Amino acid sequence: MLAAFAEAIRATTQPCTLLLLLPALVTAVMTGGRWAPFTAICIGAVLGGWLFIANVVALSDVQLQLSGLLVASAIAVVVAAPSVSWLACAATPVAHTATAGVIAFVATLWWRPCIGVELGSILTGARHGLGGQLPGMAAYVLGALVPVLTVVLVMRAIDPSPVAIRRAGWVAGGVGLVVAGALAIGRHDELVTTLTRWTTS
Amino acid sequence: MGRSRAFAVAGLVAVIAVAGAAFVLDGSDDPVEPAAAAEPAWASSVPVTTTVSAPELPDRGLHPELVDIDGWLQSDVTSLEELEGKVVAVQFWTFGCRNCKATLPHMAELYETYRDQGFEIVGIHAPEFSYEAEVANITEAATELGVTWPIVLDTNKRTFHSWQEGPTAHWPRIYLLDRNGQIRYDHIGEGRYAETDAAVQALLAEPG
Repeated sequence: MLAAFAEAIRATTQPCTLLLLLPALVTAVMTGGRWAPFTAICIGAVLGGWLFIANVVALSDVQLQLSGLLVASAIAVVVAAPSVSWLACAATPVAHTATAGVIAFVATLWWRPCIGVELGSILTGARHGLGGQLPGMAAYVLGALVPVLTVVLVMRAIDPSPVAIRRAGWVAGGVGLVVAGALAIGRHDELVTTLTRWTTS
Repeated sequence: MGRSRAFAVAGLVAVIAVAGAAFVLDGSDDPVEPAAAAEPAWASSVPVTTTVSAPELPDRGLHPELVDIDGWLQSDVTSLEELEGKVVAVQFWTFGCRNCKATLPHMAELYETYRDQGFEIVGIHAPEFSYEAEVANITEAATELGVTWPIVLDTNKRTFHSWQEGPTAHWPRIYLLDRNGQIRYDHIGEGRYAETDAAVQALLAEPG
């Protein structure tokens, strides 16, 4: 499990992790670096990771677009909620936590992880018995989310003002809208290619 | 400094330490075990943990067909059936995949070590991105990466998906076929190099 955790940390520097990492980072920043949304991100991503190794779900092109639309809408609502009175219910901590979990879960369905030694062993082992691989996959997913934990800790250490948190949320929300919007208009492959070239250039 | 901030700073230091350790220890969590015999050169350069004998090699049935392929590169044969009588490693890969590239030196060692004993590799190139589908790019990458074995062009990934069970297919993935074309070994991802080596040896030792 520790090896899987470490392999995932190393994979965070690779483009293959970005489709999980970017939405998770965006969500963590938008929700002010609070612990409850971060925990929801971890739970959503682990559940999505288990679905991935169970090999029972792969999104079709239409489903990818719909999921992009869902996440883009969720991000827009979270960003706009403090300024729009009729969206006030979306600015509550409970709503933030639920949204964070859903976005992280959906992001794991977009994810195309690097299959190194440990994840390869998990995937190979999962074909013979899923149960034994669940802890390893959870460790892998949590390792991939270490940059999100780092951002949360930085935000808590800096303890920014509410205005600064809101501005950071706008920036993060903008990035999230670009990512989710690209998926919503059927540009998944182009997005992954762009992220790959951007991070390897 | 408030208690919450102090906790956050301490946590940050701990996270950085753990992440740093993960990078520093890169590779030490890659337990590549030595083969029982005829250990190839690369195996001696990686951490050794235990001795590996040949893994179980159950018969998983005849290999599926190559579906809707766009041709072969670096090969005189044009079907897997023509390779019957040989032990064949079928590897799904694409040249832009970092983990696929990491396996290629070991594939090259296998090829060099066992080719004369009736072993063949077929690399099924299933591109992830459009630039990986260009034949000129594949040829250039094969030269750069030392891929000298036959390559099957699976541009539409029909073979990639038809060979791999379930809705999600993976790169890299290796299947070993025995001399009768039956799938006997299967591994997803990097690693297990010595186990793969031992499996090749065991299959080569079987009567045809």
